[in-house]
Amino acid sequence: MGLLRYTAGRVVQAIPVLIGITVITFILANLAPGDPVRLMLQGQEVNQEVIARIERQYGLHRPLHERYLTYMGNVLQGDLGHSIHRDRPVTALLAQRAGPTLMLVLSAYAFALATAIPLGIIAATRRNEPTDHVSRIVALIGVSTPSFWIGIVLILIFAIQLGWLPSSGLVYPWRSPDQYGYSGYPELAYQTIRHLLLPMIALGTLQMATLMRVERTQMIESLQGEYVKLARAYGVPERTILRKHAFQVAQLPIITIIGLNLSTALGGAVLTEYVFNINGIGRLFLEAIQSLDYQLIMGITIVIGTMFVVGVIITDISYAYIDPRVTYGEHD
Amino acid sequence: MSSRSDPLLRVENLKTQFFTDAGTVRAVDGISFEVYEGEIVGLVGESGAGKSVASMSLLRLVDSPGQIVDGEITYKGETIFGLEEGPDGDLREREDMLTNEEVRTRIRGNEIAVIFQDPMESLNPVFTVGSQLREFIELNRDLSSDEARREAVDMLREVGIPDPAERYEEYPHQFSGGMRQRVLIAMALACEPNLIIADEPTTALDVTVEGQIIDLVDDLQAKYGTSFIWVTHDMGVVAEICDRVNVMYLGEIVEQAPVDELFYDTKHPYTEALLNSMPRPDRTVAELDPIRGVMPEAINPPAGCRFHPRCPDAREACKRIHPENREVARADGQPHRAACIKHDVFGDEYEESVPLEGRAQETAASATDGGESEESGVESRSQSGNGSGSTRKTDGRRGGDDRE
Amino acid sequence: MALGEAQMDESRGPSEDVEAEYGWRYTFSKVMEDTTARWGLYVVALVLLISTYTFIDSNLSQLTFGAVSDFTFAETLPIFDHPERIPPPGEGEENVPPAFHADGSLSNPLGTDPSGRDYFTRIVYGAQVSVSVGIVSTLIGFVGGTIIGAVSGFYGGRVDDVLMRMVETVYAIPPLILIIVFTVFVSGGSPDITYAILGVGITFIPVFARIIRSEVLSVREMDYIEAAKASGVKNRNIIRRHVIPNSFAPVLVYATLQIGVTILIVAGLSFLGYGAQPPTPDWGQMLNTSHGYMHSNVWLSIWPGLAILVTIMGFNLFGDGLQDALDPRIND
Repeated sequence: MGLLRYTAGRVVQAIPVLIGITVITFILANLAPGDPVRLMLQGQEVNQEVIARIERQYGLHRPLHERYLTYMGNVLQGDLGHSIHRDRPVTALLAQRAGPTLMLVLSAYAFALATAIPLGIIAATRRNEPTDHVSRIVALIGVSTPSFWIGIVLILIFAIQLGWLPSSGLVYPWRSPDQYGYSGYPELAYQTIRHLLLPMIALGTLQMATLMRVERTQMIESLQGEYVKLARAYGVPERTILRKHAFQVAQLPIITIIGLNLSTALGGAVLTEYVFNINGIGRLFLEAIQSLDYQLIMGITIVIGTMFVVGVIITDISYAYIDPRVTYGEHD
Repeated sequence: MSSRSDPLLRVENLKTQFFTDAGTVRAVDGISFEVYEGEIVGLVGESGAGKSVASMSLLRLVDSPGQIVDGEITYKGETIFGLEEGPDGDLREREDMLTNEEVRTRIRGNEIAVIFQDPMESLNPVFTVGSQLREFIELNRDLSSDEARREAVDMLREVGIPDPAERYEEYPHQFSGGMRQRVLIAMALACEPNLIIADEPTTALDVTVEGQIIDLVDDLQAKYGTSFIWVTHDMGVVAEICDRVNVMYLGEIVEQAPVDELFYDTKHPYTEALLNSMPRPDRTVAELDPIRGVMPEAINPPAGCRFHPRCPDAREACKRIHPENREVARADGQPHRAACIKHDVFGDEYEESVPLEGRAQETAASATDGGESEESGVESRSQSGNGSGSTRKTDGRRGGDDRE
Repeated sequence: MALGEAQMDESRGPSEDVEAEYGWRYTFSKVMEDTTARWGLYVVALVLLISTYTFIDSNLSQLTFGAVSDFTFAETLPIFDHPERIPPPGEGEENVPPAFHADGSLSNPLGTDPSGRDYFTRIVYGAQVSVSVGIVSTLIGFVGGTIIGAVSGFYGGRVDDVLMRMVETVYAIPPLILIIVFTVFVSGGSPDITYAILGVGITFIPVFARIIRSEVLSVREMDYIEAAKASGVKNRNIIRRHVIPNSFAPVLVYATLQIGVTILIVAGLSFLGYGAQPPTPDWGQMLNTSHGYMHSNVWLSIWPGLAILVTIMGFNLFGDGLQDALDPRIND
């Protein structure tokens, strides 16, 4: 009941942000010095007539706010415009490229969570012991290293020097093995993992490091809580205290961080896809930027912004689900 | 009062220390006391006197860098803590001392339960009140989940929470402070322990709520016959609820007596000072005598009597002699112990020694005008060993005389 | 945590000694006590020193010699070459491996790049771009964020709502993507480092605004502010003596850590070709160039990444140390 209302409230709150994203993108794309048509044509010599025709075609002769409203009307109907350079609808291009990016980002998160949480807990329980120091150094290096350089180093070691893993491209598990010439689904699965491993680690390391630091601090704080003292005084086994009493409370900030870090993860995906030659939205974005395909750029920015907003809403709701205080407005 | 057979809990020369960068903090420094079946024993003192550390030591729950370093804790004949001299002359844990696992499963919760000071923080915010109660009951009473649930609801009703079945499903933040403290009391009682350590359970509450909680505990204690160690800094609460009292100062017990004895025939200047600093209906604020100075750090306690720098009665000898707790009187067949050398049993060093500089005047003055001097903490009286002088009537903050 | 205040005012009585403990000198000594934080400070100091020197060197020589602008004093030292000038054929050798390599030589300790320039010189000069970008754009974010955050926190209500929605909007688009869009469109399709600095700075205004707002809000609620108000201290003095020093410390810590994040993002930007442009020596840009030589010269991809890692780690260690010194609550 409270949760449902909270969810609805959260979605309503997100609307101005979503509108804001379209406004920012629209302004950036349209207030650029020099008009969009010339930018699009990139200095090609064309006569006025051609320019006028393109302007009419895209409605560029109309005032900005009118164009924005038209654009927004289309966006609400699921039409993100048309890519001039590729002569295809933006939505079609995005749909085609979304799979690899989602696969990459989700696997990076899975990798980050699977490593960060146990390491963070171990570090918290062995505070100031060697294990703690090592994990802190790992976390520090993780937050201080550019993800694309981690990708480069991983390629240098595992692809170039050792030759164990492929250095570019992904294999998509949703395709049929025949398309790749594999013997069957087991090989498809095997190749999927082989291809995903390096980009996943490259993109996931920063997330892992951040989450590990937060997990450690939160667990330390949670373990000092009065409720832990109470549980101990009532003879609850230390393992249960760690896994249930302290852990459950320590998880709350982690959930928030996961949501907010989606922003860095999506940004990092651009670099990772570039380094590993993955045909995802990130690469599409770079290609669109290169050709100044501004309808496509706007479309991608809006979609990525929306992905982030949706991600944050999902984490906020799961937070509210776990922390009963939120829905009653007692938290924060 | 129960018969003076074997005590339920016996603490002897307990020492708990914290090993910090700044040095060793002697939080609890050789205290001894007993708790008999069915009685409420008070542990009183200012903040930092070591009361909480002492009570947590009883469950062997001292947080690092703290450690119990000496003494003996016996509960129902079982050794919760005990040391002996090893063959190499070092102290080592005794053979019969319970292991960590045994203390956890056999003592904590099901024999000795705790009610903590801060009801707001003591319950886990992300679990329902009921599930927390049920978990502890299941763990300590070998009940099935369903039985434990029923027991939990019953107990919530018992401590006066309305609609216990509904409130069972609610989260701690939906309870007021007083209600949460009731939950914690229910938690303690539901595990059916023989001893409950109440660590300043009413300090965080409003005065009116505090009164209700104390009444509740008084009733339930009569009903279940559970023994209590009641940790507090409030002499009013002590007067209302305790049977016997231990007054702690800087890690030591300085006075130990049945509650009426303590109030009517105070034997230690610190207890005296505590009583004088307590607001009472028959005195105005101007007449309050706060204790002079602040309690020193337990890291480097004063030599001699630890209270001497603040004691209005202090003499030269007090700087040298560190008095242990000795029986100075008997009341109703129970000992009245105090650690102050002004009593005869400590010999005549005090009598022969001169009052400390700066305090002679005050002492003299207060002796004549009845303790009106501004600096001195305690009205002094002719100090004979039996101290028959003062006949102060003690009112608890909420009318100590009306207690059942 | 009244930063620095105690030292400025000598006339105060002994009762304020507690506050004196939290002055600049105290903070500094706390940082120096912590081994890791001390090393962080050393790294930051070294990088700052190098970039100041190279900055003065390259600009001074241009001032003094006008036409001979491609001369630097550093060149006169035996270990440095000119960071930007591509040696004419016959003078410099291309792709010389680092000195520890069998084919390497001490005159090019880290080898040379594909154009025959000394890699060590370029790495050293690269600090200048990273550090100035990090500091200048953090400053932009800091100043902009302070204004927005303070206004938002001070006025509250409607103003706060609107500003915070705007902040959330910018927050929603991954910084890297927003900055690339900004840089490319605002520069009219020819991005360079100035636009990158501006873009990074503006993008991080919301982050700072958020922190400062919450600090102002929490400080405003503090008991000592209430006490000061109740005892008739003027609003201006409350803000000067209490609100600013108390909100400043966390923001300062954040800014230090933010410099690291900024350097990380600009490295990514340059790596993709939207930051520093050749021939400017910049670590990210050098990684971009070396990307094509991963098989032939592994070390070209290693050095700039290590330089980024060490620099950011320095700022992170120092920032963490500062945080511990200012807020000893959680960490040791």
